[in-house]
Amino acid sequence: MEETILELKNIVKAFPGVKALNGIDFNLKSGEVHAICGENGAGKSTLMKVVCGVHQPEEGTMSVNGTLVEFHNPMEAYEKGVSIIFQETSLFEEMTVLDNLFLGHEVSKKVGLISVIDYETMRHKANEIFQRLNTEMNLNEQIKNLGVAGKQMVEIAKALTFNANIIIFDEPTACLTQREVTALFQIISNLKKEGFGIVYISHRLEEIFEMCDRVTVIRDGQYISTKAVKNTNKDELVAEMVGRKMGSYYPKTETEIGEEIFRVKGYYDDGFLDNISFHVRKGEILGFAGLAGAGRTELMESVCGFTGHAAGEIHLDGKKIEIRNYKDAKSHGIVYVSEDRGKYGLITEMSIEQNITLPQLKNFANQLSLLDRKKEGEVGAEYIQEIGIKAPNSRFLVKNLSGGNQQKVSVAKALALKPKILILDEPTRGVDVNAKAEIHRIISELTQKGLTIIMVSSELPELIGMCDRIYVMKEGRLVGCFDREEVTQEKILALELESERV
Amino acid sequence: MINKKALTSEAYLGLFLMLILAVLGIWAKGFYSINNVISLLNAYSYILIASIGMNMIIITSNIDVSTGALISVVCIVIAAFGKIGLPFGLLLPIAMLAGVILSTLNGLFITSLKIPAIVATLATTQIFQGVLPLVVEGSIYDLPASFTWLAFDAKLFGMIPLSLFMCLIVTVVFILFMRYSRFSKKLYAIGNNRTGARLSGINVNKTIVQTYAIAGALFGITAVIIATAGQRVTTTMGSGLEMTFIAAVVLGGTNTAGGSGRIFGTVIGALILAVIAPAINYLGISPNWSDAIKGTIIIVSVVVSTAKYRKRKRKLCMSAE
Repeated sequence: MEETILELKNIVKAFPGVKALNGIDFNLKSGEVHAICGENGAGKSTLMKVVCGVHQPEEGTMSVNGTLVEFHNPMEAYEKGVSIIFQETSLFEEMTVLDNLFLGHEVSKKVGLISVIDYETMRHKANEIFQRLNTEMNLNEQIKNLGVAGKQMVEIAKALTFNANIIIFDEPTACLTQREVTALFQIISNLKKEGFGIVYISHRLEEIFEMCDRVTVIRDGQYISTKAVKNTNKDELVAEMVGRKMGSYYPKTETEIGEEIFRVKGYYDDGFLDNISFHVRKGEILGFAGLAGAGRTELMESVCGFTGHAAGEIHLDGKKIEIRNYKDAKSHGIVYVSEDRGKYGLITEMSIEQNITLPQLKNFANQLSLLDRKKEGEVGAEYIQEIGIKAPNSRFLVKNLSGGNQQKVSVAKALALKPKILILDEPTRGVDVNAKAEIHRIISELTQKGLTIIMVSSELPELIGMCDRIYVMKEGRLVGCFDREEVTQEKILALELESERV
Repeated sequence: MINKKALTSEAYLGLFLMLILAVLGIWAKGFYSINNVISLLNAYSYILIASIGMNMIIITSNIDVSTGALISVVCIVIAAFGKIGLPFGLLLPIAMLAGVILSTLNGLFITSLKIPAIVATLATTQIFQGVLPLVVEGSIYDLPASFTWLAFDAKLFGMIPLSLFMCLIVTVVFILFMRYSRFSKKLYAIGNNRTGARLSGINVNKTIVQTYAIAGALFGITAVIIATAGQRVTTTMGSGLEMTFIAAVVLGGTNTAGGSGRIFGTVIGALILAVIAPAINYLGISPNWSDAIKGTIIIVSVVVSTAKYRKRKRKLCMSAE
């Protein structure tokens, strides 16, 4: 009965610059739910993408139902019995439920010499599957008209059309309501009884203890441990997920912290951000921790006026201010550095100095509204010097810089606006260790010059090393705040993972 | 399988068409004369056949602006063969083959060389159009009666032009093809979500080239109908027609972003466009207005379709909580 149906040995997967997976072992038995947990970026999703053929591993072997396999796309994986329900759905929005279920493996029949799609059989099979899942589904509905739970149900049904016996759920409950979660758990436990092997990835520890039989922890792409759920507890799992001891390479220098400078009160936006209030004092580095999707970026973008539709009060220097758009924010000295510098932050086809002056071209124009190239060059050179951008000169194109130096250009561009409050969203994402340390040094120096910094980061050691205070966000709300003295990774993670749903 | 929403948007289009036809019945004297209806249906045939090809291309989220020039080339090719007396039974397959070759070229530029469809087909427009004057001096003329057989002699029951019958066959075949072939599912999948399609094991590039090839065959049929209408074939027979085809497709409810749209919509869209030019004539409006009115109709339909498209995307999680 309990046979191993999926076995991974020593899986290694590298992306340019990072080893995303470094020697992962994993096995799954039939009739069990096996959880994989780890912090943001530990490699959970990457591992599953390797399993189902989205990525191909550099090293390691994988066997499914007893035979060694190599997958080049999810279709091959499906056919061998491995199906995955992705975090972001991979369905085709304009097509019907039925077409989606059988896409790429439509049932066909011969009419004379021509083979045509056999809708009758497909419809019959689909109805059977949805009955098994105990779900009502209109097979003619277009996917775009379904809710998140409906889409997920279609994905599960799709897995069953292949006769897969291994189903991978990647954060399936992230967007579901309590009632939908209960329904999903019922389905999962039915599948388990039918002998399916289920891999379950989730941030929510409660769910792991409620649903799963075994749990494997991975951290920084490394395999850490596999345990039976009944032989472990939350604290032990959290400790294993965090693992590393705090390094001392965060050059946090003591700064003088002044009066409160910025306060957000009772902030709401379109039903996601929920009653958020926080404040920052002058010279402080304020951190925002939270899992992916907790709403940190949304909060910052909303505060800076990118999204509109927000309610709540913002006070600067004790005075209430209105921020309707980013221009308002900038004029009040609030400047935002986006987490995705490639997409929103920098124009990589332009030079360093052009990027720096872009948000304030008015200040670099002469009487004829032509750009003052000389002045541009001076400012470019000034910032290259000041924050140590490694480039031959300020005319250098941004696309030719390394990730770390691009990030410095982003920061320079923000600093050139002479902000009072600088909001950095994931300032060290995708940069190497040295550049990271340098960016941390720059942040520290800036606060010494009296700048106030709000920093969003998914890396807890970075937040703990750099920040004076850390707010923890979850599902659009603030769920806690720690001072520098009392904070530990375990405390933050415990808050992040705590679920009030169960 | 018919979706409620799609039904209503096509129903609206149908109503719009009826309205035009009713207005013409009341105010345009002679619009419903046999001669006019037959010439209108002839134009409709070639517009619809090519528009079906264009529709398939647009469903994959690509485009072809070289169709007009491509048709000009095919017209000249069959005129050359017609001049030596080849019958219609041979001209048709030759035209389709020529269409397939030229259109496949477009598909290969787009997929193998990774040139965006609009750029690739703009370039081939210039090439197709540019080569003709080098080969032919203005036109091929004094074509024999065997060449114009389709336009003048091929009538069913002594009245219905064969071209209309060809159009009917093509339409029925492609409505069935887009419903019952596995290939058609690939087109929609690619137009919806290219990466998703690739991950579903679909060979995206191959499918796109095949789509252009199929469309090319249809462009070839259109070229035959256009070329054989008279004894003289010029080098610009197809100029500008691509806009009519694209308009018919867009009017028929196919989203230019790809992934949606059905042949039935194109059937109505093409009819509206085929009616406009003669309608303007019979209503006593200067024919110079024809293009402007077509353009206005395109703008309105594109605005309506993109408004629908924008509405549908909102952040998943936000609405779910």
